Amino acid sequence: MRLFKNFFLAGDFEMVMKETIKLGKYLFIICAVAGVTLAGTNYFTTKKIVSQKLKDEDAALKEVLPVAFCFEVKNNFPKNGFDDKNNIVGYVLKATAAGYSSQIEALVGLDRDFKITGVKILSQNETPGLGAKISEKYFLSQFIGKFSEKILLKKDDKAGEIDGITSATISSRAITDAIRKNIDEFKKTVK
Amino acid sequence: MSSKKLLSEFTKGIIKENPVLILMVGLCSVLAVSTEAKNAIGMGSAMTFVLLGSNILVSFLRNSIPGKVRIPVFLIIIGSFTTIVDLVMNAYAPAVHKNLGIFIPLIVVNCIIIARAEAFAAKKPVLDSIIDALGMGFGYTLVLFIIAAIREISGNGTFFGVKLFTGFNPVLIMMLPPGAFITIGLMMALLRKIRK
Repeated sequence: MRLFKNFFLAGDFEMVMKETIKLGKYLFIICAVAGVTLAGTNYFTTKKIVSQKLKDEDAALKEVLPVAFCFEVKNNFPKNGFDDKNNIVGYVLKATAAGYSSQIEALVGLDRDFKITGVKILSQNETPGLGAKISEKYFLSQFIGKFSEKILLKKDDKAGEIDGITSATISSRAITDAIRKNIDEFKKTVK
Repeated sequence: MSSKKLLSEFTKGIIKENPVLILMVGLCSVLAVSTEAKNAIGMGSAMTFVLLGSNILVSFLRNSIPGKVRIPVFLIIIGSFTTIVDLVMNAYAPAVHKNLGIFIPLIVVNCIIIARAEAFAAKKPVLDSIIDALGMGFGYTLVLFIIAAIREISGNGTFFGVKLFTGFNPVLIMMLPPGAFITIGLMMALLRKIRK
């Protein structure tokens, strides 16, 4: 504010310029130092972070399809899982669902008969204590060993065999429906 | 600087100038992460670490920072420090990062840090600023932990993820945002009553 007042009243253009340049110089130096430090840190940590991420991803794939020895190397899903003799033993799909307050992402492991071998929630931001329980084991273990026809909430359909989470119907339904639809669609592409 | 003065610099952060209950800064993060005692400890320690780093740097540079641009300079220091902590933790302590990862970006907007930089570190020597950061960090963590414990026990029936009671019907509202406001309001009232 005072900068502008000086500028308009006194018209002392030179003085104002001098101060602005001085402040600008200081900010420039601080920003440059911060920038170099951040670039340096980034340079030294990127490799580690990337390899860590790959390792985590591999562990997640193994978790939903434990029988597989290794997995197809590609960036998108579905991925095939192979045994040690390079035969396909199953598939891993990625299901996304619009939950109550967030986008839910899950990995679903299938064997060759399209029976579920495991489900893991990769990311969600549902209500803590309610919808967030979808990533807990007692809920997810219900899916294991079931075919897609049974992947429905008990309260929605007689054929359903999945118990929803109390007071978190929207989250439970979203993830359950997303998993079923994904499997059904995947079946069509394989057959 | 006598050791007694330093000690009072530390303890003021716990009750007399508690950042959350008295100064009422950083409420946003307290309300958001106090759903589990484990998260409270994580957020508290990450916040204390960043506060310590920014207080040291600000105090160190306090005589050379021009008054007119001090706030942008503080912001640059805090932002860079937080990013460095985030990257280093992600690379070398991935397990810890997994638990704290979501809270670290939140620290940048935690007004306790800029408040302490402006109100304390910009005027006091480095040693005082270190003690101030530790005291404030401790006070913040303590309050966060108490609120989280109350909310986790009453709202979910667990403590540090361990189930405490069987056949207990949790008070769900305590897990939702209103529960945070109720708890923090009651704690403020209680502290005022005690101090009078």
